[in-house]
Amino acid sequence: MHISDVSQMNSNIKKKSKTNKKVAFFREGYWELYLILLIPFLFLVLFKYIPILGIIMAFQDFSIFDGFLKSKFVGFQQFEKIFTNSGFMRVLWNTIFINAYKLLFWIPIPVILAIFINEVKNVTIKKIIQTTIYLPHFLSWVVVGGIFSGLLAVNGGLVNGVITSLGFEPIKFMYDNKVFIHVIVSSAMWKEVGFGSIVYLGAITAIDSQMYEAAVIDGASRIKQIWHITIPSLSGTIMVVLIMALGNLLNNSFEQMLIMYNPAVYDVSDVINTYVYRYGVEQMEYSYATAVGLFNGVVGFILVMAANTYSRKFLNRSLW
Amino acid sequence: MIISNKGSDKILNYLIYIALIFMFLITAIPLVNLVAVSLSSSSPIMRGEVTLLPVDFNIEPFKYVFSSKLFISSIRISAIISVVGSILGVFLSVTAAYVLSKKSLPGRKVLILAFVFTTMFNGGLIPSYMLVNKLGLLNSAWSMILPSVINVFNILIAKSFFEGIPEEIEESAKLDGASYTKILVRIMLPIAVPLIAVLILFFAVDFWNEYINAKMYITNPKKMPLQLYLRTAIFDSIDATEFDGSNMDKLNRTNTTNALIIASMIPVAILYPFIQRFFISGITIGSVKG
Repeated sequence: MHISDVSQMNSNIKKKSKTNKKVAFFREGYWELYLILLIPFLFLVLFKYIPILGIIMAFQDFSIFDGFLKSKFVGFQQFEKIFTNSGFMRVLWNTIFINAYKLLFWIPIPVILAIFINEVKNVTIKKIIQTTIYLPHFLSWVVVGGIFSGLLAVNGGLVNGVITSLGFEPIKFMYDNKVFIHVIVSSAMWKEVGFGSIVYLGAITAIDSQMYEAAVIDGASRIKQIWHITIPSLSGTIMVVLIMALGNLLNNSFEQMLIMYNPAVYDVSDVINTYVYRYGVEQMEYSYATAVGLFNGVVGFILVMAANTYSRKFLNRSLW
Repeated sequence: MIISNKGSDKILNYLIYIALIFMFLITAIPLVNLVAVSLSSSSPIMRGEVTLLPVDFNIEPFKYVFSSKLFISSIRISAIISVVGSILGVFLSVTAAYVLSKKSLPGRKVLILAFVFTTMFNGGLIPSYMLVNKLGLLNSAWSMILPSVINVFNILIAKSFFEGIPEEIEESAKLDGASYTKILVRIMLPIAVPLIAVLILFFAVDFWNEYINAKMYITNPKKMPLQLYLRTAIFDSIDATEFDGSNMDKLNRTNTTNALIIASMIPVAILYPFIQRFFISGITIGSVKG
C-alpha cells in the first residue's frame, strides 16, 4: 500500500473515534453521570472556587461600600505592606517555628505508637489502650483547650499542684512567653498522636508475614525485625503524611491558637491565620488580610508541589 | 505473632509496656481529673486536694450548667447543624464519589483534579467570609452547614470505597437496562452502608466540634452553637454569673467549668464505644497504599 493511503486510513480512524466518543458520551449514559455530579460540583464551585475569585481584594484597596468592581486597584501595594510590616515577619516566623516543632513529634510518635501497639499480645490490654488514646481526637479544640488550661492553672491546677509540692514556684503556663509554645505543641500531640497512629497500624497489618518468618529463621531479634522490615514498609505512608504536613506548614494551628492564645503571649503564638483573622474579620482591613492569606496560600501550594515532586523523583512515591 | 527469645526482646517488651502505660496515663489522667473536679466542692479544689477522685462530692456544678438557657440552646443548635449537615454532606459525598469512581468516565482526570485542587489552594479566610456575608448567611445556622458540606477528603474516602466494588455487579445491572441513577440508589447504596456510617461519623464529629466558622459567622449570643458558647463560657466568663454566698462552697468557676466541658462531651462519650469499629475501618477504606 502507498504511504499516503496508510496515513489517510489513520486519520479516518481518528475522526471516527472522535465522533465515536461523542456518540459514546450519550449512548453509554455518561451524560447521566455528569448530571448526578452536578449538584456536588455546584457546591464545589460556589464554596471553594468562588472565594478564589475574591483574591482580587488583595490587589485592591477594598471598601465594603464600593464592592469588588468599584474599589480602587492598587497592584502590589498590599504586598509591600506585608514585607515592610515587622509584625508580619514575627507572625511568619512563629508559624513556621511552631509547625516545624510540631512536625518533629508528629512524624515519629504515631509510627512508634503503632509499632508498639501492634506488639501487644493481650487483646484486652490492646483494646483498652487503643480506646483511650483515640478519644482525644474526637474532642473539640475548645474542650482540649479547656482541659489543658484547667490542668495548667496557677491555682488549683494539677500540674502546678505537683510543682509546688516539690517546692518550686508555680509556672504561668498559659501566660508565659517561654512556656506557652511547649503547651501548644504538647496539647496538639496529646490530642492527635493516638488517632494518628491508626493509619500506620493499618499499614503494618498489611505487611507480608513471610518476611518476618524469614527473619526469625535467620535469627533476627524483634528489634531487628522492626528496624529492617516494619519501618521500611511504612516509609510510603510516612512520606504521604510528611508531604501533607509540609503543605500545611503555614496553615496549621489556627483553631488551636484562636482558642488558646491571649494577648500576653501574642508575640510567640500569633500565627498567620490568627493574624489574618484579627486584621480581616475583626479590624476589617480586608485587602491587607486577603493579601496575607494569598501569600499564605501560594507558599503552601508551592510547598506541597515541591515536597511531592521531590518524593516522586527520589523516593518513587507521590500523592497522586 | 512474632516469636523470639533474645535478650534484647525482653528489654523491648519492657520498653513497650512502659511506653504504652505512659501514653495511657497521660491521656487518661487529665480526663479523670476533669471528672473528679467537676464533682468536688470549692475549697478542696482550690487547696489542690483533688486529683483522681472527687472530694466533698456534690452535683451542684452540673445542676448549674444544665440550668443555663444559653447552654441548652447552644446544644440544640449544634444538634440541628450536625444532623442536617451530616445528611447533606453524606449525600454530596456519595453522589460525587460514585461518579468519580467510574474509571471509564470521559474527563474523569480533570474532574478529580478540580476536586483535589481545592485541598491544596483556597481563597483564604477573608474571601470565604465575604461569600457567606454576601449570601446573607451571617448569624444563620446555614453559615455553619453549607460551606462545610462539601468535603473533598470525605469524597476521596468514598471514591476509594466505590472503586473497590467489583465491576461485575454494575455490569449485570446495566445489562438488565438499569440507568446509573437506578444503580446508585438500588444497588450501590445498600452496599455502601458501612461507608455511609463512617461518613456520618466524620461529618457529625466535625460539625459538632466546629469552632472557627462559628467564631467568624455568628455574633448573636442566642444563635451560638455549642463550641462557641463553650469557649466564651470557659475563657471569657460570659454567662458565668454570680456565685453568691449561699452556694460558694459548692460552686466555683473551676468545677462549673469542668462540668460544662464534660456536659459538652456527653454525646461523644456515649457514641464513642459504638463508633470505634467504624472509624478504624474508615481509615483503611480510604487508606493510601505505599
